Parts: sequence; C-alpha cells; structure tokens
Amino acid sequence: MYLKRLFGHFSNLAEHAVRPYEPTPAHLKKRLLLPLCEDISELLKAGTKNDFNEALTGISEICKKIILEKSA
Amino acid sequence: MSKLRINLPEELDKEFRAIIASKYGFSKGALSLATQDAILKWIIKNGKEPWLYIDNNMTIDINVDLLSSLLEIFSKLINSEIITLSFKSTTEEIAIITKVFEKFEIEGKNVIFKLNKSDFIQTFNQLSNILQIQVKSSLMIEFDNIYLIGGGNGCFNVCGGFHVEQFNQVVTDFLTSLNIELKIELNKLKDYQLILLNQKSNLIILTENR
Repeated sequence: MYLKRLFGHFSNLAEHAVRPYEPTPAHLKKRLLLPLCEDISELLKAGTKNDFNEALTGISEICKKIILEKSA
Repeated sequence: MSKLRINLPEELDKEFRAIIASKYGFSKGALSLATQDAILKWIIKNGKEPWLYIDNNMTIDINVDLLSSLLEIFSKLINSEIITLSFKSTTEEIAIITKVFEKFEIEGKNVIFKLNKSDFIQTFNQLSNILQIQVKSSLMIEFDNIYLIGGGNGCFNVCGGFHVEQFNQVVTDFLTSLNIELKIELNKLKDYQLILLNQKSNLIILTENR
C-alpha cells in the first residue's frame, strides 16, 4: 500500500512542479513534500529489497511519463 | 473590468511587450491578457490558495468542502462496482472506527474500506465527519485501476488509466453541479487551467490555445 501511495505522492509532486501556476511554498511543503517524505520513511522502515526495486522502477516510470514527455 | 495604470521601468516594459508579441502576436487585448496572467500568478504565489484549481494534467486543488461532490461524480462516471477507500489511522481512530463500522480491514496503520458503489459517498461523508479523513494526506481512493491521492485538504492527483476525455467529463459535470457555467468544451483545449479564486468569483480559464 505504501508503494502505491509513494507513486501517487511523487506523481502529484511532479505534476504540480510543471504546472504554470506554481503552488505556494507552504502548499508545496505541506501537501506535496511531507506526504512523499512520510512514504519514503515508511519504505525505509518496512520495505523489502523487492519493494526498493519496485519503488525506483515506479518513480522512474513517472519521471519518464511526466517530466520527459512535457519537456519534449 | 478594472483599469490599472502603473509605472514601469522602460526596459521592463520593452521586454514585457516583446515576449507578449512573440507569444500572442500583435492581437488586440494581448497586453491585458498577459498582465492578468502575471497578476494572477503573483496572487497565487504570494499565498492565495484558490477555492478551486483544476488542470488538464489531472491535478486538483479544491476547497475541502467540495470533495464529497467531486468524488460522487467520479464514482458515477467510473464503471467500478467496488471502491476502495484507505487512510492511515492512529490507535484511537481505529478504536472509533471499530465502534461505528462493521466491515473494514486493517493493515498496519492503514484502515481499508472496500465499498459498494452505492455505499461509497455515505461512508466517505461519515468518515469525514467522524475522523476528518478528507484532510489526511494518506487518503487514497481507488476505482479499479484509477486512483486518487494527494496531500490532503483537497489537493489531489488522478493516477492510473484515466483518459483525459473522461477527466474532462468529470470536471464538466462537477462545475455544472456547482452552478458554474463552462462556456468552452474542454476536449477542444490542448492545455487548460481552471481557477476560481473565491467561491463567488468568476471562473478563470487559461489555455495555451487562447
């Protein structure tokens, strides 16, 4: 479950980062960074080797989809 | 419309007009549009959280009171008989849930409700009233392969296999439910941002195609 949340929160951060109307620093911290940091912390505490691999693969896929597609 | 007269250093004015010309050409109203855009960005950047912000990348930042109406529209338009609602809870919260609800699962700190479509909104509203789940950053709502997750308090992103046309339908129906007239068909726009600064202000539609 935390992996799905991690992907969702990372995706949310990436989508917000490329939008024309950037959110306020407070919004960025509270709504985008903190939830992602919590997911990473949970992964560090409870994640298996396979979870780590899955986490990086998933994040990489989101990067390709959101960041690279939009800069093209 | 208000009129604004300001003093600008000449260099800034030149650069501003040059970029406007390269972006919009020399069309009538381009200077006003660019100025509105700049002012709006400044307002948001300096702390005004819009009452509603939705864009075609499926990021949603809405006032938390609107969340239930939005989720109702998602649940109507997505063909998913079971909707999964999950969030992290404290021990005290789990004790409350156990007293009020019969069917739910616990996985570590996570509470998971697998709900029939017909029970979804009622349960969401109950959990919102009792535990304020609408503000939780761990709140995740899954409709088969589509899921909504965000930083809590109305900040959301739609993940998974949701097509932009389906999303546009959700947005259109949602705005209609709020009695907000959308004078443009979203499917005809490549990129868009919809902003309502306040509950009673006019809908601002920004698009690269304007």
